[in-house]
Amino acid sequence: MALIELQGINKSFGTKDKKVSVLENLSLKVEEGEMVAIMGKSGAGKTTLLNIIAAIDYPDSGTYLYDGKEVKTRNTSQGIKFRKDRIGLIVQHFALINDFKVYDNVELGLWETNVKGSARKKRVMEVLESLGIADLKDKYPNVLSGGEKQRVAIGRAIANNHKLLLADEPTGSLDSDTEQDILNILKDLNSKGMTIVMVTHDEDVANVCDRTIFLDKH
Amino acid sequence: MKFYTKNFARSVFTHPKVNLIILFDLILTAAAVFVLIQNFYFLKEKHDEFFSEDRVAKTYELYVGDELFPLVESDLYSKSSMYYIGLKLYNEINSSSIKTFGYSYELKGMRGAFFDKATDEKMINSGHRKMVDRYYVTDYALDGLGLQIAEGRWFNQEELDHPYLQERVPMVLGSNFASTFDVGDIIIYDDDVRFHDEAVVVGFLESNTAIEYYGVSQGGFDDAVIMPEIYFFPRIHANKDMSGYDPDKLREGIQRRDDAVNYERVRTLTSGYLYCPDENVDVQKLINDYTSKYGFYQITATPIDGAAYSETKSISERNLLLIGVLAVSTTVICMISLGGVLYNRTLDDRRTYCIYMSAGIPLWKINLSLITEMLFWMILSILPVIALSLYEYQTLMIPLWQIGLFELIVMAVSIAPSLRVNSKCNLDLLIRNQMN
Repeated sequence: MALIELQGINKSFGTKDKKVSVLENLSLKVEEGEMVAIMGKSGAGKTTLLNIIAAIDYPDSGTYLYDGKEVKTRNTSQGIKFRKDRIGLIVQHFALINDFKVYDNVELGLWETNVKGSARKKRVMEVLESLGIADLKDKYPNVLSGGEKQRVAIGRAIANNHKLLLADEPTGSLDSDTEQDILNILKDLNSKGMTIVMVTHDEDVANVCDRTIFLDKH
Repeated sequence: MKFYTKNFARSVFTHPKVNLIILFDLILTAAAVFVLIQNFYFLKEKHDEFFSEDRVAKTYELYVGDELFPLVESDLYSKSSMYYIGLKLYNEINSSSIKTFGYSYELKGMRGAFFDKATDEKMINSGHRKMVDRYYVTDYALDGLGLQIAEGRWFNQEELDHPYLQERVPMVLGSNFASTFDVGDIIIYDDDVRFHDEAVVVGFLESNTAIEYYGVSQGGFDDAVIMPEIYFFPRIHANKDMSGYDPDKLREGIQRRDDAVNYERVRTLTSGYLYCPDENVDVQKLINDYTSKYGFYQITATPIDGAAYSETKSISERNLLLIGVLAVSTTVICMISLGGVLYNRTLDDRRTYCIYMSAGIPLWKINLSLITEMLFWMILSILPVIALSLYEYQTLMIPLWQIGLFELIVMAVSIAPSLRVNSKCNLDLLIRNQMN
């Protein structure tokens, strides 16, 4: 069974008189354990598609199935709950809280779960160690390099051990060496069974993935 | 819980200056409210103390003139300009809610020097003691002196104005006479020197009735023989040299009865009393308003049976209003400042809130965190007020819930724009990198 299945998704923006269609009758499937890249020109709807999968935005029409169940989120609260239970999210500029230490930034992903106390601490340390940033746990993000910041962001996204990791340009702010490190981490996560959907404009990044979906601009 | 503590700590250290302003605003608001409520309690307590049922002055003693230019009685002799001014003043004052009245008291005298022999004997037989107190009263004296009628009635207006035109002189007696006489009894009123008239008993006073005069119970009315003041005047007029009864002069005095009435009225302004049944009237202010119109000598009204309204309530109310306006102004300024800085701080924090939401933390928790943080600052802001109150008065002068409630209202208004901004946090912007 596909982990993600979109059927006939339409999405447009703008007013009633001046509508811009971004996604038109889009259908796709992402199988569990796949690593998929979404590519396309600017304005093709890559991030919009990611937002719909992450329940940050909602399609005008069409069906979105997650793990075989229809996703019917229509407001912020429902979207937050859906993501909390199912999705890890990474964005290009890391989205770290600069006032929290690395440890706290990763732990943030577990605050709304039942993992508490020593189990939570153990899980955070496991994630930090798996990403090779355990020694940075007491540092603040503003003293970290771009690669280290993205590792922290990945740590927060995977702390919950969700099946699906969504990434919007995860290597967009990184140099090529660091980019490779991050891709290796993502590949490693994928090899352990995590489904990854990433938006990228970089073909080298897309080549790491099992499959690439190209979106045309309307 | 972890989220609340972490977010609170983050907020404290991320926005130290803004939080200081927030705290300062709240302290100022708490202080303003404290001053307002405290003064309200102080003034109310003072007001209650002076205006409890038995402390409100209803009777005042009047004094005219000042140290340099005292008004002498001769200034008021009929037909003088001062007399006419005084009369106008009298009429104006008595048409208001305050009423002037006069009463004269003759020292205790032997009963025999007041009643005829037959009456005297009758009273001896009924066991009455020998002394009587003679009073001559004008309008409003019944209320002004705090007297109560036990039997019969008080003088009517006609009797008060023209007692010498009545068939018999009306007379109200103290309670000690009730065992000797009945209402309607005729008494020969004869002091062997000045008077010889028939009087009729129209009523009896309650026992032990009368106002407290500067805190001392009068109580001298149980042996009182009370007659209208005007009755007294024509006879004095007729018998000024005290050498005998001159019918011609008496007739002349009666003919001048209108002058006599008016003269007595004006005289109440100079050495009389004032009765004010309404405890919310500032008597001195009202009199000042009247006297200033005529350039009359200043009339001083000294409260006899309680405190004057002007000393407390009117001043209290003005102070309270002033304090209220200042407190409300301060609060509004603080509220605007608080709302402004909090709003800007929330705008700065929107990125963080979006990250929270991307990590699954619901919006209501973020808002609750903001509210609890503000509650913390609110509680902290009340502490200086509590400390000040304990230091100054060794007690909490006002209930804490009243400051708390007021601050809650201020906080609710100030925080509303921030909560609205939070509800519009857009994760899409975060993902599209526009919030870094």
